[in-house]
Amino acid sequence: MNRERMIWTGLLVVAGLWLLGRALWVGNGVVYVQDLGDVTVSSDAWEAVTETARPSIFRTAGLWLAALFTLAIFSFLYRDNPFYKIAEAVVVGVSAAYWMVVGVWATMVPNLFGKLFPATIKAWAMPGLSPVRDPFSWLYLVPLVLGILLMMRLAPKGQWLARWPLAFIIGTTAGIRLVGFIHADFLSQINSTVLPLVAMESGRFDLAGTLGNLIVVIGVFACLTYFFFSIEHKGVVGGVSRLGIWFLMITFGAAFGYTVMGRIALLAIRLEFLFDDWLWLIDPTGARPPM
Amino acid sequence: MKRTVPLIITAAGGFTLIVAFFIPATESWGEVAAIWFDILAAIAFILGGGNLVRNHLKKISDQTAGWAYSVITLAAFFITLTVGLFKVGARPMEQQEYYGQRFASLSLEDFPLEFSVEGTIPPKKSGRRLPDSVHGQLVADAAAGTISFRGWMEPNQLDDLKNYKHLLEWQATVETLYDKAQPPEPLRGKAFYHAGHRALAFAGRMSEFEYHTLRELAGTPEWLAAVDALYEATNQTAEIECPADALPERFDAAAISPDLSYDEELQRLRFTGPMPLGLRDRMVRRFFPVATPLSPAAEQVLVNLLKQAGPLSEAQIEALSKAAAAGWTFDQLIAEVNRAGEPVQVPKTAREMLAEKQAGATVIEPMKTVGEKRTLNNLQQKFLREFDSSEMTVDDLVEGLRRMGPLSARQVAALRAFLAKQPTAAERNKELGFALLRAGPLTEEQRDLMFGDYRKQIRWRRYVGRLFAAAHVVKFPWSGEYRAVGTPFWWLYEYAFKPLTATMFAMLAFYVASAAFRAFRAKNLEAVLLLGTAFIILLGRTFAGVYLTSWLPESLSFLRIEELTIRIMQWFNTAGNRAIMIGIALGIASTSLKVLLAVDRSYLGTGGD
Repeated sequence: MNRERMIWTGLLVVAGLWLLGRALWVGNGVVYVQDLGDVTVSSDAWEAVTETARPSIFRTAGLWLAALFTLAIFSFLYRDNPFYKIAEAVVVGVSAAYWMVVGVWATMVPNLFGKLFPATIKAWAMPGLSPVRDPFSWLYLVPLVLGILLMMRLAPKGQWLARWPLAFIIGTTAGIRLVGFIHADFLSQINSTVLPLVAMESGRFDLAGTLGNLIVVIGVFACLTYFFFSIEHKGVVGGVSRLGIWFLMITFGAAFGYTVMGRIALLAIRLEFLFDDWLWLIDPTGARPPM
Repeated sequence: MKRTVPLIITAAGGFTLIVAFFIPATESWGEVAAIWFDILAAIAFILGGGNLVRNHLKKISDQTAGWAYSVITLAAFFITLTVGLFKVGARPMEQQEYYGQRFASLSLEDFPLEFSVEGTIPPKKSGRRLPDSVHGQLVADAAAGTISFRGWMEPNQLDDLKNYKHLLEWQATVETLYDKAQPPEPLRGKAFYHAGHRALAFAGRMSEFEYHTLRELAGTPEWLAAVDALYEATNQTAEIECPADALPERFDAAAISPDLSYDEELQRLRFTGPMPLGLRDRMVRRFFPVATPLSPAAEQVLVNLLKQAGPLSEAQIEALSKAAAAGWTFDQLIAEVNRAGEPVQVPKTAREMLAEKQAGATVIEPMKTVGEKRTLNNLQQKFLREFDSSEMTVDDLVEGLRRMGPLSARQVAALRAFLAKQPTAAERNKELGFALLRAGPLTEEQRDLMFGDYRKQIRWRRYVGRLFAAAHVVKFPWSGEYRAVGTPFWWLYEYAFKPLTATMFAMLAFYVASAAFRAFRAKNLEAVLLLGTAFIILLGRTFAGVYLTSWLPESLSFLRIEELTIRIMQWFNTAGNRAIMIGIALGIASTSLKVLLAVDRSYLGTGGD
């Protein structure tokens, strides 16, 4: 055993012992449920004080697993290691299956099988569905056939057949995007940029509004000039496009700031999960009675 | 075939959606194409799963480096898939379970009763067919000039038919048909026919009299068999073990329902017939009454009791007082009951409006006022303020109020609804106990005092819940939500998928910060602008940033960091983002056109296969 491995093993053993001791003496990381006879509902440590809630082994094990997974992912900050790889393998397997299940229950059952065999689906899984078959329900055989063709990607021969459904996906995406972007982005953005250059509020001159409108109109114009590459950026055009660059730089700076803060917020949530939900070292929301 | 057909499909799919946007008559084409797209996207997830399995199986079979991780991936995949697809542990959908009813199979063709009224079904200009909810049940006989309904019409079917055509004559005909297409009086509100489920249903326990009344409605073998099955099903008795000490004080089964009984010798709780959700809740609330507002005297009594049971600090007494004052008040209840005593506007029936029209009215108001103004008199208010749930039930309260003055049905309903929303005395005491605990420790005896009743309530609720579950026959076991809390699929999402993905994204904070540190250098004006903006935005979203510039006077408040953040986002960022979005929109529109017109064929690949 080399020196590094020894240090890590020692650290892990110490951490494990500390966790074990804390779990035994404090009982941290326990998830409570309340059994109401016909249904078991989520509960908390406060209800446990009244002796009406009991620890759920199933959910407590889940919380500990979630904490260990969180640490396993964070361990990558040091370097690639087996813990991270295990967590990575789990996330790949679970997420692939998760989206498959969502696709089946949220889309295929109601929108495909529910259209083709409404009475059967109603009796089986969707009691609220109308049992009456639409006169044009046969149209839904098309996506069924296209779906089967899509699965040909997995077949050893005839993989080219998967191009047909792929072509449909590409075509509909292009159709939706073409109209959607022109309508919602291109026209709407231009529409929103046509602003009064002298803003008034309650019949009086509004300095802040005027300044804001001027900045937006000039900014959009300058940025678009920068994006216009059919004319050489020299002279007046060059000056305006340089102003556009400045606007874009401010935009990128703001986007960067927001992105970083978003990630830090996520990080804070994960740390709060570890220190609050799992280790019970902090309790910002008063989720547990005082020890 | 390999290249031409896909190009045609691409163009057809895309242009259908574009045409649907511009021509309203073809709007439904676009909707259908969008649903097809969703279906194919869902199937693409299956393809993704299949691909994952194939690749990892190959890795395991070849025993390439890291094949053990592939085993973990596949195990996670198959476990998640199995519990998700089979909805393991998911309870049936509560709204669809028809709690309190039992079903007996009976097809619409075998339902022997048909009800007719004079009239015709008006045609719809758009060619829309009759609502799905009455499919096969409503038939028109043009020769006889009648319309007939097979089955017993339900309120939602009446609404659907009335909305089918907004024509007074038609709506009045439907109302007449609705009145006719009902079970005979002793069975009204108890017997149902759910055509969509092909089921004859009965709510509660069927009595001998009701059984014979149902049987006498028709003599076909299918009908008689269904009625017999229903009678048997609604007379099944469910029982659970329930120790006598779990029963609430003053437990009286007969006061709840004649179908409820308790065998003291065998210590068993029994219920005959299906139990509705309302009865389950009533069984708890009947013996654990609502908490009435604590009077200062009652609060003092509670404080004294707590002091006898252990030490109590001033802070705890204050916390108790504050928590007790947070509950509902009699003034709120009186206001609620008085509000319900105001006359209300209700919609007129189509028959009423038709009668007005035929009488020559030119302007017909769709609403009418019903009821007269009724407010609680002084005697009633005094009686209400003296209500103590430990000594009087809500039924007694209503009875008493009626004795002292007029009380409308709406007022009674409002009073009951108000009290039903309030916590029970046991739940209120529990909250008071929590308030005490937040302010200081409690002894075991003090805890028993505050939480004892709540323990009893939950224990009783548990037995009631078990009886409720035992008395119910699940009708749609697969109707449950696949992501329902507590299911294994939810567990995998909550404790594996969510933390893993969230942590992976959270970890990017480190990499973004590290990359920024290495890449950002204030070498020129553009870089300074980028860095400066990022710095202001980052600071502006923290408490420290706001604190740093909070000293600036009001006249310079526009220089405060949070103000600067708002201005940057509102003005400069809006301008930059707009230009970018306009550029993106133009780029996407042109790329889409190139794809649809087959100018860009890169998505087909380069190979022949």
